[in-house]
Amino acid sequence: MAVRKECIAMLLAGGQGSRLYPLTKFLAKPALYFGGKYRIIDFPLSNCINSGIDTVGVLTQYQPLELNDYIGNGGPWDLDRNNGGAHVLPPYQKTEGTDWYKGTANAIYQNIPFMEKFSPKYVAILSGDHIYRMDYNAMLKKHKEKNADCTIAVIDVPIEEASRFGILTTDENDRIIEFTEKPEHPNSTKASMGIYIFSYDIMKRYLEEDDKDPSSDNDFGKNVIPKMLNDGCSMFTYGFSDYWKDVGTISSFWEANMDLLNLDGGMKITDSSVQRIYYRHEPRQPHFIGENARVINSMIAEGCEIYGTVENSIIFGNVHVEEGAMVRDSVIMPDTRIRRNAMVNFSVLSTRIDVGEGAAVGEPLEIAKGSITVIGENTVISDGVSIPAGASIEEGSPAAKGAMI
Amino acid sequence: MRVMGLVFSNIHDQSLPEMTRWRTIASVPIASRYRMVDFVLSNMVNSGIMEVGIITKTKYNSLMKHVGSGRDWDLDRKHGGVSIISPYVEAGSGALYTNRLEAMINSIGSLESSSSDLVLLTDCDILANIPLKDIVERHIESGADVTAVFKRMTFDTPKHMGRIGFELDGDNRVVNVTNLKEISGTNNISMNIWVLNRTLLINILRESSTYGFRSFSKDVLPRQIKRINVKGYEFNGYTKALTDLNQYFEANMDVLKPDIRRELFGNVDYPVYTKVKDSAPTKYGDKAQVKNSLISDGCIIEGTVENSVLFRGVRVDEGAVIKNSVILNDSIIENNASMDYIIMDKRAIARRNRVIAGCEGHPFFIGRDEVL
Repeated sequence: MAVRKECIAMLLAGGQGSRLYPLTKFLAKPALYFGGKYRIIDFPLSNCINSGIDTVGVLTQYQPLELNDYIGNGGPWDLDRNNGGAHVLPPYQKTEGTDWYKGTANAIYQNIPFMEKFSPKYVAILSGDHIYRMDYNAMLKKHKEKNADCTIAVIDVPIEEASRFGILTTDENDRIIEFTEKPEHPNSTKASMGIYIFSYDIMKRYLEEDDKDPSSDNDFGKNVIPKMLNDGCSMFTYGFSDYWKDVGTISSFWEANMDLLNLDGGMKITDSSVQRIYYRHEPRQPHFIGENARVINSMIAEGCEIYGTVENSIIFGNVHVEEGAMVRDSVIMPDTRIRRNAMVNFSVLSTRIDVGEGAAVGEPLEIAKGSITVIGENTVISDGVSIPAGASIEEGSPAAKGAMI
Repeated sequence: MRVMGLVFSNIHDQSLPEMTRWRTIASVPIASRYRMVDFVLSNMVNSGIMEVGIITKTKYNSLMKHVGSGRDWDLDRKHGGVSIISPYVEAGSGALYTNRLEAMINSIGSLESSSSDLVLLTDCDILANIPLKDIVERHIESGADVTAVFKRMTFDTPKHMGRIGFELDGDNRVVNVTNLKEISGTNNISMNIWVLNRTLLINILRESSTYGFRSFSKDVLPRQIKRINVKGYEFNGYTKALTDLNQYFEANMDVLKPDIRRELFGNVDYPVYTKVKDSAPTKYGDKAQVKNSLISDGCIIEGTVENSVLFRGVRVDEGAVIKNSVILNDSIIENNASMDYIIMDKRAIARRNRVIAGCEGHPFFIGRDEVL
């Protein structure tokens, strides 16, 4: 019998991230590289341990291999525990048939046996899609004070963007009156962040009911939360006003990376007075900046050798930028080589890419009109080839060898 | 065959009094993000040596904090793993060991309780990435009792330094061990890395204790050289012994050279591990001008850095200029301060507009936590 835990977290990490394709061709979205050293999942995992939650179920489904490896025994996040810790929870075969996780609610439902082991009073439901630093414990405190059945974290969004989110309407005590998924005419600017704290027993009852309903999509936002609201459950919002970014699309992913370059705003990732974001390390030597290199307004990680120019960019570990090469307004993931006189502009490059001599990837920010160029992992771009703004290239694409696209 | 590693963390502390005021030579920071012991521990782990004892004497607090449970080197093992062997002082005597033999006699318990066949002894004063696996394999193949690692070095002008030299016969057997006070010409210089049978080592230690021998290479080896078969192993890769502050400075500067960097870090079978700190990547500001420099994570650079080595978490403010310097972790160089030929220990601060300089061959040392 495991030691009882007051609050555990369930982290939905099965996201396919189809709008981030081809970056997510071989990777679940939470395993995607972010910010020079991190993966997206480092943010919720670090938030958990920094909030005192030491038991985290990580629900995986899509392309789980690299994500499983990455989480391992949870050591990098101090989640290698005898009692609790990080647990990777893939769908599994049961005596009565086998199911993939059908929706967010179904994924949690299928893991009731896991949660029962810890007899939790509360469960935090998190997702692996967002970049933010949050104290879940402060949210739990409000949940307890309000004696709530469910508390939903919300952030104020501009009214013109509100129809992209799940929007909550509350009374003056933050009690939720209405919840609408992507409303056409939003009547509030409080957007759900996809972070819920439930009182466990109530959540369990609703998940069991939801499972018995054949018409349900088994989704928290679409089914479980509206049902609870309809039944008059005690539901509150928890307002969050710090940095929070959904990285579901190529452009929001690029923006969130660039936000890191503003040290005073955003995540304040270099500020040692705020809680650290932890990550799994690779043994790489310090980076080297060559004699003729020029590096401005950029972040550079370990193992890099920079002999060319890097401006306004995020460079992950073990990236080589050769002499005469230039990288601007771009995100370059690990183990990539930008050869002599190549230009990379306004692009996101996945891992293990070889940009040939004199090749040009993307077009300058000013000209590209918002069209980010994306290169999938392992792609070799031949010498002298130009990849136009907004192109999305994968390993073996003819365009990488210079065919017209 | 199972091999136990025995690391001497304090021997040579006196070569580098500035850097070892607060720490052992093993925990002296080197090459932007490492400590000397990282190279030794990583080489051992990469060579399959998963039982390591680190012999300490004094000032080993920073070493213990650095090594911790050994997790960062995969040395948190149920069997073996890393252990810090602290000095054993008998009640009332208060005396610490004064030489390598006493240090080992001190830790004879660890040697006796080990189930390893061989013991590999090493110091921490030489920057190098040494494939210890090759040395152990050669030791086993050659059937030697002891394998002694040396580097063949040529000195054009005589140099004063206490080093041990080996004379070899055509069969690579060490026939003479000499104590070189002054070195000139070509010599086989001992790197103080030894491989030998664990029971042989225990016997030698017992005997030495009886006869009151003080030095392994000066007393024991010369007396036994005919009886025991000591074979030489020549290491011809990059090495730099930290024999004084200038050598320490040069060792850091060496890592700016691509070929040396490749030798230290380019071997995929011998990665170098260190304690992880979860630092953010280094941020270069709009006015940053960085050239020919080795930079670790977690720095914030707004000024100019040339021909320098920056450790983790260094802050270089706008207008500050750092040239030919080694700046240790979490130090701060404020606006328009200027540094040339400086070694700055950790958490030191150079205030605005300060101009500080040493010169080639004589770097100026700024101590830990000093504010200038």
